Amino acid sequence: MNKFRRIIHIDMDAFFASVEQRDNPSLRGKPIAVGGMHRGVVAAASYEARKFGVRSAMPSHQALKLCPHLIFVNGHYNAYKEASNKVMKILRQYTELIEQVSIDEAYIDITDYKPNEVTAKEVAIEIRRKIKNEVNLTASAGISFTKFLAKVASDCNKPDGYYVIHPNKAEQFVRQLAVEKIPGVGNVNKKKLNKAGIYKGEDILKKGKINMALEFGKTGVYLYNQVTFTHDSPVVPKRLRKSVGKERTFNENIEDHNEMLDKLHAIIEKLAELLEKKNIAGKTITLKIKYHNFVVNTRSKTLDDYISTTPEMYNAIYELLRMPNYPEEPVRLLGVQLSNLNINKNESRQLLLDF
Amino acid sequence: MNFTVNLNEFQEAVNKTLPAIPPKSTLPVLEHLKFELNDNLLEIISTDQEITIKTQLNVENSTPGKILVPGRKLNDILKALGKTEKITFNSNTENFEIDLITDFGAYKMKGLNNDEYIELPELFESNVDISDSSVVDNALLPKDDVIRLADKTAFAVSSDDFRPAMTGVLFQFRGQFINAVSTDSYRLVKSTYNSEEINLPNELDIIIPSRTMDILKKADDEVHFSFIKNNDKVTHIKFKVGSTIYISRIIDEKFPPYESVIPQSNNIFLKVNKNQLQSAIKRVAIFANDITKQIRVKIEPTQMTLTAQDIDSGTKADEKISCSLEGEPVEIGFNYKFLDEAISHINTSSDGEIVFSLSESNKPALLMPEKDSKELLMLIMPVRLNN
Repeated sequence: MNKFRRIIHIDMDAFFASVEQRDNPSLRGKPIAVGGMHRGVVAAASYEARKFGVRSAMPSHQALKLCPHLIFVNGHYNAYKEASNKVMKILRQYTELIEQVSIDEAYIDITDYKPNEVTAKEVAIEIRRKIKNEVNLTASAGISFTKFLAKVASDCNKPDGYYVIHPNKAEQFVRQLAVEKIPGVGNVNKKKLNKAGIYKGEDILKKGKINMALEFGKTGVYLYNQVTFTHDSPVVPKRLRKSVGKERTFNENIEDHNEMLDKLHAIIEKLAELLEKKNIAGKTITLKIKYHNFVVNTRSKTLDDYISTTPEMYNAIYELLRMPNYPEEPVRLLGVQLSNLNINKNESRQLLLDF
Repeated sequence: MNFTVNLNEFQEAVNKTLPAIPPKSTLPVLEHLKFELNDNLLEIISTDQEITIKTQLNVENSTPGKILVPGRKLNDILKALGKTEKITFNSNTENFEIDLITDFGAYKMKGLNNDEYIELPELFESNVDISDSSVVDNALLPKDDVIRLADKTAFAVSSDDFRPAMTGVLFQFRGQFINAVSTDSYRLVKSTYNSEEINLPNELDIIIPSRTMDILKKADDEVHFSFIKNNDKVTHIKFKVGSTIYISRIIDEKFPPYESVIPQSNNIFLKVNKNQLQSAIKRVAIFANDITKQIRVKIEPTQMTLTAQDIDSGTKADEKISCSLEGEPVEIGFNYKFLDEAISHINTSSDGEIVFSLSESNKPALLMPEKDSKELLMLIMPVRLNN
């Protein structure tokens, strides 16, 4: 057992929706969707809503068609963040090897946590109990010896369950695994694979590495490595961010340039707060504009120096919006992204005059 | 159009008009010099539509005419003609061919019809007699003072086209004095010229493009400033240096409210020998990190320690120099390039010392030739130190 790593994938159940139901008892047991009240997309759906086919990232009007008595609620991001922080704090009691993938999902590597005293399954059970008692939410857990298997496992008994894929059962499990369950396989890849007669893990094994590479390129190699457990990526404590950004979809399309600037200022203030908290600065700033007709346009500028404050970013964004010309069509979404990041906390920062 | 001219004078005149010849223009006609000859007086005009330059020189044996001459090509050949004293210029009014003839050579190039040149309304406007001293909006400034104002400020101009106001130098005309201010938001320079003899507009703020400042830096005679207005709004600044007139568009933007960022209550004052400090910076900087260019300055009552360290390459340097401190000891970080540039633009007081004024390690530092200097103030933003 010791030569295998012990990895747990913790995945909160319908996270945003569950937080809303936790904090507002009148929503419990009802189909709810977070976000998308006026327009846009569902950010998260409760399990009651999922029964009707409502999914996150689904346009609201479509969700409403599937589930006419769907209740839309505004998101409370601070509450999500707070809950997420509490969960991460629980995980940190076991190890520092925590890779937080998103606000509601993380891998932990507990190979070195009391190796001869407790099993990974016992740890997962304890973590789930603590989350329920202390945060009043449910989480699903997947336990195995690679991140890939742990992730697949956490989905097996979701919600509010766990599943263990033991090393000597792994091959058998993977052989029966539908390809679309493999992380990274979306609709497009699924269709391609199915077309080539690949429906399950065993089909990939039958094909062999070389044929997978020839027919599907990088994706093929990736899939083969996953199902043979050769792609054994470690749990990286802190995921390196490539970019950080904020965006907003508006209830009504915006045509007035000053209004766009006001909205951008608000977005930038939020982004600056985040950057300050994470001690991040970036050199490349990107303005994202989505027009009423869903055409997306981005404008970027790379500066000589790292920026992170509201006035620095606003100045750059103001120019990006203005030059070469203001958007000529109504705008439904605006976003600001900072990339080319300086994540090294210890790097000194040239201070700027605050004009 | 024909004339004969002294080569040196011709070369000098052409050279003066060159700053307004764009290296590559969207309008090919702007790569040309406009020649206009009347009564043995040759007028040469160049423009890139931001700066327009007009100069004059006397020629001999002339027949009048107008033509457009390729600017860089003409300058190149004039510069390369070392020995000859005189040069003859002949142009054909039919096919616009230009012949340059010296004692030992003949050079042919193709000009353009003068009618193809662009309109220059601001130049026409400038025909108002600017030597009339009863006009309030003009002033004659000594050469050295103009060069000083330009030289002290031009280096700190921003190159960020996204903040156009900061790509020029703010000139604040205040009757008896001028403030010239530049900033790139990492540092700020304010240089002041004060004289009882001048009579300038009382409340006029204009931003002069940095390219125009580069011309002023090279002024070789006293400078006569005046302004060109359009609908009562100043659109151009005009200055006459010797027989050359420069007209520059001003940057029509709002300069950042710089006064508010200049600290008024710094309570730490440091006096240090300029040469000692500069050579210490030069040596220590070799060991600083290439990207941050950070040096750490620890200031104590009688000595300051400069430290640079680059963890990546494992290099480190520190050096101590003596100083005198008034106020609390402090530790502050700087980009050495900014520090060095600022120091080198300060002319020291008689004993070779310069003054720093500070408050905290994350607040702006001021550098001056002496405490409460009215003439020059440099502000540098520090680098945040990690302890």
